[in-house]
Amino acid sequence: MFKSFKIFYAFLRKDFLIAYSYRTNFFISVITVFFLLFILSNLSKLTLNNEIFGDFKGNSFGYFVIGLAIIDLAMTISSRGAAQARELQLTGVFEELLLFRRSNAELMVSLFIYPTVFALFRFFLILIFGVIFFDLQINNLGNFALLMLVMSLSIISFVGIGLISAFFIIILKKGDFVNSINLILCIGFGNIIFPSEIVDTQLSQISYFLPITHSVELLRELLIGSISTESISTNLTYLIGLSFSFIGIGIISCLYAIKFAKIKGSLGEF
Amino acid sequence: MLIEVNNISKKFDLPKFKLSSKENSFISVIDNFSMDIDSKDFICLVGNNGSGKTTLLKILADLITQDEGSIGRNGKISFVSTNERSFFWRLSVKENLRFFSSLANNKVSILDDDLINILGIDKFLEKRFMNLSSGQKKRVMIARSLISEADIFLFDEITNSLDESSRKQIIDFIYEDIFLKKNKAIVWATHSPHEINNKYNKLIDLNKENRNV
Repeated sequence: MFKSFKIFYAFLRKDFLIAYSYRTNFFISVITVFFLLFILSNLSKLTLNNEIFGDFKGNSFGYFVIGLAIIDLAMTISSRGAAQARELQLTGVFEELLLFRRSNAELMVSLFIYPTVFALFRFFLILIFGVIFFDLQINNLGNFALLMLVMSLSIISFVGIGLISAFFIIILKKGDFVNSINLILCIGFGNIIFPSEIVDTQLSQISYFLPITHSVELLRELLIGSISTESISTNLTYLIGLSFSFIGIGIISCLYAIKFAKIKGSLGEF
Repeated sequence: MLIEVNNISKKFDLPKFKLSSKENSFISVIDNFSMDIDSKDFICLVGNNGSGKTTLLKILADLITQDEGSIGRNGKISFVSTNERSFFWRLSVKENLRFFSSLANNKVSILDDDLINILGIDKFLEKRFMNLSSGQKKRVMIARSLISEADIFLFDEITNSLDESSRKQIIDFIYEDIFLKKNKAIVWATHSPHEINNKYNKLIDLNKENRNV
């Protein structure tokens, strides 16, 4: 366990130092958070008191902000982690990593450590900027333990989706389409900017299989809503099931991909 | 015996450029090849371009799986290629070596090893990798290969693109410090065996071994 943390720390340090060497990019990403919130605050004026937001009809800004924060978290983790797999393969570092005979699962998960830390930074930045500059009302911070549980399960599932994307990168050398499909499904059915119930087709059932649906509902209840025990236990059960399913599928598929690439001799191809 | 290779073969699929083509075409790179590597071996692996040197070294390093035959490995293996991109170019040499050291289970960091001074890396430890010369990059590659404290070192044409003086320094370091002092086995893949004249004790000519290439 300690050895795994040593590897995770090494990846975190290395990725932080590389990101730090592109400081302008970092400051631009902070500024974009402010402008996204500015756009949402104006958009929410158009949708205020709209019945489709149910319990949040008087607080559509809060509804949007939590949606933005969680989709930013999901996409940053899954796409940046998978992009790192592509970059390491492109440069040949991936082969070098395998030469050290570490657990392949450990190496694959390590790719997502810095993206997760960076995504969490942006997540809290969105909430803090929302509170300071746009009067976002957060009223339930007393449920800190539950909040941490929901965040942890959400992160596990987003890493799982990123690993599935990395699987396609190792096998097909491109995996961006997994994140593109994920983004479309999340926006369309994940309760991010509108409740999935208004999608008047059987397709709305997709929302149950998206971890983000349950993450965003739980976070809205925990941070800006009134907590209903029944709703929390249902969403939490779904989120636990989906998190472990996605991380399991992600790790197993990546292990298979490495084995497949060794047989094909395509580890160093891109 | 550190490595025992028995009758291995490797074929690669060739990409199809015509959508209508249904036939699978492939190229045989290694065919029914056997070799042994002992702890006191300095093996010179000679072959033309495309003769299968890199494929064979990658099979030995377990980066490619052979189609047929078996390989017995009894020791840690380090593989050094010519790929300069396999470092983090925006990080310093020190940060690169620190990162790769974290992956190994060694108690002593490569940064504390005297070999860093012998290789002359101490003079440019704080420099970004992208700002190094080709010769300096090769030295850092060799330093990285020493991190895992391997029993056998596979060098894949690492002196390519080096001037005569750098080439001699690197070959002398590998022969004297890694092979003679540390008693590690070496496999040296090259086009021209005369660059390591009088140093190797076995010569394997892949042009002759894989006659159907």
